Amino acid sequence: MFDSGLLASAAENFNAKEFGVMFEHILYSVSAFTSELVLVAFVLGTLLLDLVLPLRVSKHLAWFALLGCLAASFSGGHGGHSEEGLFLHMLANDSFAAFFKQFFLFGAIPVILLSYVSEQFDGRRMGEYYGVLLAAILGAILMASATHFLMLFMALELLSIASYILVGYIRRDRRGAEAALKYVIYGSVAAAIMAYGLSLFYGLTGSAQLADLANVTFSSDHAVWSDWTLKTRAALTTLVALVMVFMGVAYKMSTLPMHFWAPDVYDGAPTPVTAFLSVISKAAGFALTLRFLAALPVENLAPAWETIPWIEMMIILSIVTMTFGNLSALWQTNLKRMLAYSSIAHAGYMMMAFVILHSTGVTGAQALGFYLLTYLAMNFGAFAVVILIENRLGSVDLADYQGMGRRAPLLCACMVVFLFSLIGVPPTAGFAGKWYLFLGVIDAAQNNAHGAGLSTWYYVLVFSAAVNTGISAYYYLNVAKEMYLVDSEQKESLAVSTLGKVLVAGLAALTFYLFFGADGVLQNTQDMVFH
Amino acid sequence: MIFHDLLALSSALLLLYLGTRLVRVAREGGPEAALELFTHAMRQGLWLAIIPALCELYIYLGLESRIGLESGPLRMLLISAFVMLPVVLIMRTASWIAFETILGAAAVVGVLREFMASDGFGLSLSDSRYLALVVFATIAASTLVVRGAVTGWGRTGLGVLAGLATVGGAVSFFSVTDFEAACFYITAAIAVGSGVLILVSDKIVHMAFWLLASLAGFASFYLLLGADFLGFTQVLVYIGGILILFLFGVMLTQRVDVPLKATSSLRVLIPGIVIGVLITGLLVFLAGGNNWSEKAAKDIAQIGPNAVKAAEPTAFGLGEAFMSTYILPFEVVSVLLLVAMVGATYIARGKSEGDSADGADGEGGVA
Amino acid sequence: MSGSFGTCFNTLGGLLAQASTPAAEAASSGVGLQHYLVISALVFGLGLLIIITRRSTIAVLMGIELLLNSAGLNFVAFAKYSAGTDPLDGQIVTLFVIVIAAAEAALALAIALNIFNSINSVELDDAHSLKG
Repeated sequence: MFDSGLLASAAENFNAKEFGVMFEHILYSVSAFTSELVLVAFVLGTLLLDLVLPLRVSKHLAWFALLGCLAASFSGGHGGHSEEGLFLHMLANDSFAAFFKQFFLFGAIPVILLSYVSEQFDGRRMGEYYGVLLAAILGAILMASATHFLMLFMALELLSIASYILVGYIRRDRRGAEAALKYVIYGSVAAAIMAYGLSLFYGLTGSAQLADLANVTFSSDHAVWSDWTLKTRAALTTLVALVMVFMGVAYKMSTLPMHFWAPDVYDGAPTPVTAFLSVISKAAGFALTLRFLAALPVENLAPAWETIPWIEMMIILSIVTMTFGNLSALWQTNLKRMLAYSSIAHAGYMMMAFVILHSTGVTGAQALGFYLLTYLAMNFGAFAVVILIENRLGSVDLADYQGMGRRAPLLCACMVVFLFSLIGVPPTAGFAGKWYLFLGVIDAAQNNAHGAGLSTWYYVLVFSAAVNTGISAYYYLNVAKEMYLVDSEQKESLAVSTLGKVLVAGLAALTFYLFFGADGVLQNTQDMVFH
Repeated sequence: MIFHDLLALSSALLLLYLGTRLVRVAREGGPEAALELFTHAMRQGLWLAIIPALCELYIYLGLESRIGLESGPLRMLLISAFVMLPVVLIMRTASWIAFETILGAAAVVGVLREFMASDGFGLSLSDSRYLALVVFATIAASTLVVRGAVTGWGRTGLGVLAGLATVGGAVSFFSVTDFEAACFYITAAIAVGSGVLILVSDKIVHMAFWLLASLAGFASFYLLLGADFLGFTQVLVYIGGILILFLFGVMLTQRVDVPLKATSSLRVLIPGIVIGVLITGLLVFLAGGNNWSEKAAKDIAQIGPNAVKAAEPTAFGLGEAFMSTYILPFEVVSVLLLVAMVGATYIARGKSEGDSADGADGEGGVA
Repeated sequence: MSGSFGTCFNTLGGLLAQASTPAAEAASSGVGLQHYLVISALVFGLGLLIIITRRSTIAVLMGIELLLNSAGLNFVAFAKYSAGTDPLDGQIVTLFVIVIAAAEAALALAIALNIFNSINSVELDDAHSLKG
């Protein structure tokens, strides 16, 4: 088969000058990619260090991983941006990507600390855990910046595969193993469906770039079909492709219709991993979806897109998701399951950001970025309290929280802060987050940002979100009631490690800070744009 | 034309026969008896003969052109019915096979006729009709033999007939004018047919082997599409790697050749199947009936950035792309593989080796 | 490759059968994009049905492999026939999809194996110590 003539002809076609330009670009891209490279180095470092360290020291690899996150965060490298993106249109080099890069690196710190204080991992090697966790962070960062179908799929899979391992990390724990099995099976199905949707988009647009999503083209010179059927078929295919891709990311965001895994997996996974799934993994899904939707044509000028009511679809999904999450959470007696449904409900709130993507006031990217920050503070806080109490009681049942207010005063006081924030009561971060989302949607409704017909939809959305906030108050406050108003026979106070206390107090302080300093934080996200 | 009329006539007779049979049973035994007969017939796979028969009538009456569906989806539906017929033959008892062979063969040939008329197969009319009959008869005959329904002289006779048919099929095959089309349809029958067999097999080892056939079919699709490197990668990675992994999984987790447990309750299963079939129908409709914008014919033969011809290796172009345009995915996938490897070894590590080090294994979870 | 084989077979066929093939001129249309897309849609549907009807973990994994393969076939077929695409792009995406599928399958089997060690079965239905 070997044909030297063929190689020679291929070598002739090789253009040295073109290659030089490409090489320059790749070198430039590497320099803007330093924090990811640092992260990869720490992934390898963690795995290798674990081989030489004795078992009892293995736990302290947490500090090494923490160092990795900080080093990656400060090695920045995202100065300026190029039209070409990074690595020849593989990644975007915009402020949206930069924001999420810092968000994930910052969000990894509480996860690492939570894993460190949790006693669920006691007595086992942690090298694999932290190495895989850092790789998951890398996947999340890439998800927020990917602009090529392949990169997007690969980043999603990197995060998924790492998450499957983390969920099943406690090997002989039957519930954890089952949760991992469910997560990996349904996750693979969702990813495969998404791959098929991406392949349809590839055929529709003739390009694997997100930027070309608007250019859905069909040959119109077919003799048989009239214009009407051609348009309908084109629109139907585009819609099917969009729904398939959405199913893949909805699995990460845990929004309907791909939410079903969340309660079981959240319940069965080690609690720090549950916290990771509910914040980092979800945020990565939202970042990807926002970037994807931002690439769709706004003005409804592009053929095939004009008949697809994706904004209305998102509004309906958002309402259904938040209502489902809140109503299901009402009946939960297990705190981890309750937080799982609460996280589905919050995904519903966050979906509001999709419909105000191109608003002139508070943009979707801004509102989502800020909401995710507040969600990070309050949700990690709530999970931190759950983990610290689980360490002592070995239980996450609501019934065991009775009278906890006296047994662990600091933890419970902070828990109340987090719960109020999750409801959205001032002066906590949750209020500010919801405020900007609601404000953005009302603003869009008044300015007819996406066409005149949509105002009513927007008002309905805000109204249902407000009603849902009211519903959610019931089950969040129920936890506070159990802690403070119900007495139990157990009186002895809970011993909590200093690090645990500092962590919880820090997150509570952050929850307050994000309310009072909201304007300042938002200023920093103001120029968040896609390129 | 006479052949065409005969087919339509036999289809009409089939439908008439079934209809009268149903009416008579209903008159004698009431609607329950008719329903029972109907479900029995359906369960025996009769619907697979009825659907092509209906389609044949539909085409014969010229409804096609009146409705305006002149190509694409309907034909593709017919292909799928054609592919599924042998499956049912294999599944059912010998007594039904004879019945279905007679009814089904006519219908299948009718389906094929449509393709040939439109030159969909790229075969000459007489040859392809013959080829279809041969394929079908061979499958039916071998099924009879395998099932043990035919023994002794009958078996020998069928063997001789099958041999003759194969020779005839080979002759007809070699006279095919469009070799690519012939390859495509054979590959398609393998890929889709094995997919159906995965669906209906009741032993997991059989499923694994049908998966092998289906994946091999995909490898050959890649070759047909001019993606030689990809085709061989498919063979090496999927068949050499993933499938062996599956077989190991089967061996380690289940006693081989034990039928699976009953599937979940019908109440859940039936809506699932209906939804699955509807989604498939929609996708096939969109894929086959869409006006995809295609390249000009002159560009299709060419492949690669340097316009290397389709028949030439793609490895050089792929290697160049890996080191330039796709350098980032190339590097990131290494991280992904590392993580998967570390995770798989960590999670699958047996009790004997890892647990002496992991002291608290088993008690580590939620109490 | 196929071209030369085809010619060879055609010559052979011409010797064996009567050379009267009326459709020979019209056969140039052959196989196109839609043929591949329909096959991939059919296989996608089969994979979906396997996932829906089977409860065995390994069977469901086989269904997932079919889904990924059909997506891969779509990419390659679009790359060859669809307007505006570079043929190598689609092939590279499919190559990576194969690699990712391998990684995912290995991990899923490891997890199934692990669960088997604790409950001696790989049926999804058996994994019901979690509610729902």
